[in-house]
Amino acid sequence: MMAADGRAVGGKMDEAGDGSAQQKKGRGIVGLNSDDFVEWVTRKIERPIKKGIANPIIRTGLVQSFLNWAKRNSTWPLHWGIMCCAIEMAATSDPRYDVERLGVIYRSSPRQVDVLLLNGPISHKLRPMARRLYEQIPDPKWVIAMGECTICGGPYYDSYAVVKGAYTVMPVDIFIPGCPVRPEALMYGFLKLNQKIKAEKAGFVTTRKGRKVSSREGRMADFTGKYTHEVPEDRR
Amino acid sequence: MKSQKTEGKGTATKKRRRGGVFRPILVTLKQAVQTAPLIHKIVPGGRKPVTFLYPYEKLESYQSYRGQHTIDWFKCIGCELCAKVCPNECIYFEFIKVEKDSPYTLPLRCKTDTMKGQVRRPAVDVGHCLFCGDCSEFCPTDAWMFTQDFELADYTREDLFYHADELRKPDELSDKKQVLLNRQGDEPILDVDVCIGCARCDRECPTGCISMTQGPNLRKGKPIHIPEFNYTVCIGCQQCCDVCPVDCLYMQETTYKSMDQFYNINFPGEAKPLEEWVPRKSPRYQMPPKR
Repeated sequence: MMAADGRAVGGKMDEAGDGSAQQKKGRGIVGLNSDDFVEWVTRKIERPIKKGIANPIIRTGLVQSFLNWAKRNSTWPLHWGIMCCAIEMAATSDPRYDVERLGVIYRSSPRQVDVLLLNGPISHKLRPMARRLYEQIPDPKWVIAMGECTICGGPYYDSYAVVKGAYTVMPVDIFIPGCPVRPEALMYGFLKLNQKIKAEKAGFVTTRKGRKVSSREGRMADFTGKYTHEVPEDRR
Repeated sequence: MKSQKTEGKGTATKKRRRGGVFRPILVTLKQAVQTAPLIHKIVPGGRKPVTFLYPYEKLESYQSYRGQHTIDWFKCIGCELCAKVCPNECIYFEFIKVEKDSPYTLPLRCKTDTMKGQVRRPAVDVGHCLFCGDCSEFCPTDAWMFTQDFELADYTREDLFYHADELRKPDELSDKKQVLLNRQGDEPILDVDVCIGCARCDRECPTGCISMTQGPNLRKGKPIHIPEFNYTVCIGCQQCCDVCPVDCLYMQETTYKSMDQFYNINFPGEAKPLEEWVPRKSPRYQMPPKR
């Protein structure tokens, strides 16, 4: 099916007068260069999903449920260690607590991941890089703040060099307290993220205290403690 | 000292092993069969699977593991020592209005609390806590303990702030026994000539170890009411030093305090030295037997 689509695309491109008609003919999707491939993906996959599929069975069953299942069972975090919580992050992926059972596979590039796992105090020097990594991750994306240093600065809460919590820089979805967090606690955090992604259709999740909060995205706070959705220019 | 492997390394010729480039795959398959669930009992040389399936089975942690905080409200006297020794300053005290015949109104509490009809109990910002256990170690009444609950992850920051009544230990688990021990090792000393005799320390002392007596005072030139401390009752909570308006009190280490007094308290409330909780040879950390 994909080959047939690709051939059709190739034919259309030839009609537009691309020039190298004979080379592309008959190669299918494999013969496309990267720009053509991106164009093919936007036309064939992205646009129909954004426009809304008319068939209700495909819309609810395939697109929403299937994609949701795929999203929540492959939360790939960025393999990025800031400080000592990264050792616990390594311990979770060892054979004893095999975190790949939950679909958590560490990737080294922000273009390939869904989750930004922050572990350690974010210094003011690291802050723009952390923000850039967050913006490099393609949608949908989530942020997990692991350990007290990331949540609110931890023992460096009155230091001149440490950001007072990751939620002042980027919207954080899951907060895992602990110093350091146990490997099981990190796995519990990933399970919580699974529940949050699963509740996308319902729109809310219940916290540990029984309060209902939105499941759409994490919230970001101002320096004064008020919640905002925009990043001030001096914190970009 | 060299091991057996490294001794023969230089002389032995390289052995040809079967498999060639497929050998890693063969080894992986062999491992997979040997450690597969239930099959490892049948296959010779089989081993138990090492992986521990977390959401379905939970690892048994030590009795002294520090997870969620719990406070025994029958034992706590509201001396605020835990908030003072906390390195992160994540402990806050909440003033709770109570009736006269409430079970939480202890005879051991400061006179201002008795006058206002309130008790003060600690609340913790768990998102800021270091889990160092200083609050539990220095608590003079053994009221502070930690459960083994580590599943504290939450969706929002403000839900990590636990109020005083959310950290209360269930009433039926408490043994309601009063303990008073000076684990801080410091005791207040008075600068007599600076004192103005306002008796705020007397009103704020949770154990009632201060009695106001007539004493000499050079600044005033005549005897005034100055505090006298009963050091056998004093728990070194520094509450008198904090409220003193003229800073005439300061803490000083008066006696040698050995480390034997530092206990570790598990969730039901048993206090033991840390060495007794953690055995030398733990069965958890024994490696699987070699083939």
